[in-house]
Order: sequence, then structure tokens, then C-alpha cells
Amino acid sequence: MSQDSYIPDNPNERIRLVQGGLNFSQVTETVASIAERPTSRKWLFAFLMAAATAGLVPGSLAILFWNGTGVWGLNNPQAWAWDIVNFVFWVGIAHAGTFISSILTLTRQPWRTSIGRFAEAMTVFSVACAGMFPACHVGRVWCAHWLFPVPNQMDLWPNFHSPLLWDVFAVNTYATVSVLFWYLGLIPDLATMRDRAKNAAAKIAYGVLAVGWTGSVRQWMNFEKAYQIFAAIATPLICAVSAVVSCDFAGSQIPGWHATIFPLYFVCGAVFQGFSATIFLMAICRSQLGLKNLITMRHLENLCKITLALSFIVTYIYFMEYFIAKFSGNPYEAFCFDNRMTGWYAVGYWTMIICNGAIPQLFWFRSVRNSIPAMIVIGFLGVFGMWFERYIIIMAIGHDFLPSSWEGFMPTFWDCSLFLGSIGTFFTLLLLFVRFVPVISIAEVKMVMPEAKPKHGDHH
Amino acid sequence: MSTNEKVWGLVSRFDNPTDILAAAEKVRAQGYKKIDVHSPFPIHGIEKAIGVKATPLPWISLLGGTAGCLGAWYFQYWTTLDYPMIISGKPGLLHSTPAWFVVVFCVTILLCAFATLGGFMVLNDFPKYYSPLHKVKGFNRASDDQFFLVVSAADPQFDQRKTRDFLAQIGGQDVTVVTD
Repeated sequence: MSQDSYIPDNPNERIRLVQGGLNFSQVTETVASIAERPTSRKWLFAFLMAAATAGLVPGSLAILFWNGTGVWGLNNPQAWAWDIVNFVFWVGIAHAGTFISSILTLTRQPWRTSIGRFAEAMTVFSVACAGMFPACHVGRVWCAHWLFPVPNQMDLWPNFHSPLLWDVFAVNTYATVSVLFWYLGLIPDLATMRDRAKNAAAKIAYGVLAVGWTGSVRQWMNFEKAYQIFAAIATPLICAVSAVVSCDFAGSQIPGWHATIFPLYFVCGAVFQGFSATIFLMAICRSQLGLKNLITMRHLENLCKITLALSFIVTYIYFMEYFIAKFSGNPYEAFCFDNRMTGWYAVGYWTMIICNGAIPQLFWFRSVRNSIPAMIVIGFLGVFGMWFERYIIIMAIGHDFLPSSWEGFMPTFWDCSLFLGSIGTFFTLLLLFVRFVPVISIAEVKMVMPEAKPKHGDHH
Repeated sequence: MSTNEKVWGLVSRFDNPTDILAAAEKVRAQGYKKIDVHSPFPIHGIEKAIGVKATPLPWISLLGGTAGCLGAWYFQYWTTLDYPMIISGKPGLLHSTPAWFVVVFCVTILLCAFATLGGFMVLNDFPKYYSPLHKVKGFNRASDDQFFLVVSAADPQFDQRKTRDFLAQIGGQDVTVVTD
């Protein structure tokens, strides 16, 4: 296809972010029509598949709530196995959206505009999936509100000195701020949908959600300022949320967990995983949704380059973690790492090294960065490998100081069903998003087109 | 048009950002004060052209963030005194404050985010559903590819006939009277 053929990047002459010679109106049409055309069979099939998988969640939760966390394969050292693995996994997928919409805004990267919306949607939905796990894991779910400082007759407050409580605040703040940021960015596009709507129901629904947007100068000024402020506050938040999650581990004394590198480790791992997931889904969606002119090979190539850089950071941390474990002279630490490489979980460890460290190195080659099938495979493997990273970290608790208390972990059916259900939930929400909401920020894409800049005449 | 509707303003259409910026500057130079531009994306320099002052939104955000910061710190201080956990030297103002940092940080950002979105809503007079501009035929393209210059009837210089001719003269297309 012509728009897929990649013209070598001359540093003096950047490739246009919008290809195919589209004008403003055609950009609107390309994006808005996705949400306007009749439901396609392909979408319906995908939606039914996803919704059926998501249907595992209510059943799994009912069994869990009725019986308690014993229905999972938990045992004495492994008190929070897959549950916390999946929680950290989903929080990780969330990170790309925030990274793209906050850090790439602050660093003025105009190419972020056509991928930001989709990645932010992934953020919102994967945080929703993440929230499912710790909320259920408390066992007595009817007491889940005790996580928050709710006044009670016992005059008890949560322990504000505990990383587990910090986690509650960090993840809830992250979820809330992501949703607000996403909604703010959506307002001008919801107004576009309102103005294009053909039937009354759509006009009212989009009209209410667009809160009265007419694109006036003052509205745009407030919008841009609000967007910048959100980008500025989301930037430290994205660095903090996985760092705080990592304190759940680093705050303990378990070998393999008690490490000062953990906050950095978790943040970089999460961003790597988020970018891998974005590449995977974006490479599939752009042709399915007919967005090749807006999500160009240049966009995907940039994502690949960032993923490659992040892969280096996580690989460095894998080596550094091992080096410090050996260099510390602490026999428990050293054993923990040897056990990871050669023991029960060796398959997981080497999957992690290969998927996160070795395979992304293929992104050095321009031909790989320009191959959609390669991106889909490498992106998927990045997500897959990151699940194993959390798995092998968390399994370390099974082999701590006292061999008599060692215990492995075997997932049960309900472990698997809840995880599968969370994947289904994610895709159900993502498909609904694709069906009803503009998947690309229409206004922001127009902003970065050269035609959007007024040509100054003699009046300046 | 029903009889009890009043003239709300005049709207004219331009089809590119360069033209509307030039037109806005001309309307402003003519002495009009209550003018506005509606566009599908922000136009660089338009706020100066029509004389809109900088938004106070950052101050609202700062207020929200400060409230979150101080509130979260004081809340943790108060609960720690309310039910003291005398472990590792705690409670104590200086001893415990480092441990409270994460919650202070998160609540600061949380309230800052609420203040920013709330301030955005209030400053824009949102949420609402109706605008007289929606009655203008073709105004739905203000969120697509067209640019609209509005002169409000509340402007002291507003004169339906003169203003209309002036807008047409500076290149405005489809100059329309908006009633409300």
C-alpha cells in the first residue's frame, strides 16, 4: 500500500504526521465515521467473544466471595500470588497512556496526538481491571472500605505508615486522574460527534457529554491550560504509582524483594509493558479501523524506538539486581537469584529475559520497525514477558530464610478464570470505546497539521 | 423566529485560520469589544487578536493542590494523634512526616486534578446544553473545518446593519443574525 511505503527519514525534512493529503474535514470524517457507521459483523464477533470472556468475572468473584481466598491456590508463604501479579500487570499496561499524554506533552512531541487517545483509553480500562484484584484479595470484601480512612465506632484509622495504604492512595489517585484527564481531552471531540450526529439519541448523549463546548477562544484557552496542568501533575504521578506499588515489596524484608532499585524497576518495567501493549494493539487497530493516514509508520516507529530504549533499562536492572544480590554477600539474596535462574521458576525467569531483554533488540532494524506482523509479535511478547517478570518477583516469597516454610504455588481454576475474565473485561471496554468514542483526538491532530498555523502577513 | 426573541449577535464564517485571524484583528481595530471566535482547534495568536485575558485556571489548580497537600498532611497528623501507634518513635511530628509523604503527594495531585477540571467547567460556564449558536445553519462545522467570528449584540458599537456590512466587507461569508 502506498501510504505504508516508508520514505527514509531525512532529519531536515520530517515526514508529515498526517498522510494521504487529508484536509481538516477529511480528518474529522476518518476518525468520527468509525463511531458512526453501523455495527460491523467483525466488531460484533469480537465484542461477543470479549464479553463472554468477561462473563467469567462475576462467577469467579461469586465463588471467591462465598468461599474466601482459599479457592485460589494460595498457601502460607504464597499469600497473594496471582492476585498481586495480575494487579501489577494491569497497572503496568496503564502506564503507556499516561506517559504519552503527559510526558510527551511536556516534551512537545507533536506525534503523540494521534496515539494518545487510544493509549489513554487503555490506561483507564486496565486500571479498572487492576482495581478488581486487590479489592477482592482482601478476603472479607464487605470490609473493603476499611482501606480508606472512614470514621468508625472503634475510632480506628488506617496505618498511614504502611506501604500497603500508600498503594491504595496511589492507585485510586491514578485511576481518578486518568479518567479526568481522558475526559478533558475528549470534550472537543464529543462536541464534534454532537455536531455530526444524525439521530436525536446520539445528539442528546454526545451533547450532554460535550458539556456545551463550542470551541470559543476562551474555551480553547482554558482547555489548553487545563491540559498542560494535567500533563504536569500526571508526570510525577505516573512515576509515583508503580514506585509506590513496588514499596509493597521493597518495604518487606524478603530476599528478592528488599531492594532499593524496586521503585525504578517497577516504573520502567511498567512503561515498557505499556508501550509493548500499545504497539501490539495499535498495529492491529490501524488497519482494522482504516487509520493508516493518521497512525503512520512514523508513529509506530517512534513507539518501537521508545520500547527499545525501555528494554535496555529493564535489562540493565535485571543484571544490576543480580549483581547486587551476589555482591552483597547476603546468602539469602544470592540463593533467591540462583533459584530464579535454575529452580522452580526458571522457565518464567528465562521467558522474562528473552521477551523483555533479547527480543526487543530486533527493533534496531528498520525493517522490523516497519513490519506490522513483527510489531504485533514483539509487542505481544513484551506484555507476556512482563507478566512473567511480576510472577517471578512475587514467587520469591515462597523461598525465603527458612527452608521448612518453603512452598511453591500452583494456580487453581479460579485463579485462571479471574485473570482470563479481566482480559475479557479489558477488551470489552476497549471495543465499546472504539465503537462509540473517537479513537483519535480529532482536534489535536488538526492542531499539528501545518495548515493549522495562521500564515502571518504584514501585520506582524 | 418568534416575536419574543431578541437579537443575540452576528456570526460570520471564514474557511481558514489565516483569514479569521486577520478578520479578528480588523474587527478589534474597529473598536468592537465583545467578539469571539469559534474554531475546531486553538488558533495561535487569536487570544491577543480579540483581547482575551489570560485564564486564572492555574491559580485554581494551585489552590486545589495546596489544599490537598496541607489537608492530607494534617489529616494524617490528626489521625495519628487520635489513635496513637507508639511504634519506632511514632507518633511525632518530625518522626512521622516522612512516612506521610506518599499520601500527601497523592492527595495533592488528586485535589489539583479536581480543581483543574472543576475550574475549567466553572470558567467556561459549563455544563450546559444550549447555545443560540446551534441555531445557526452550518455552525456545526465549527467543530469540523470552519471558523466563525461572532460579534455580540451586547457590544456598545453593535448595529445590526452596519456591523453586518462590516463583517461582509472583511471577508466573512454567510453573515447571519443570531436570535435568542
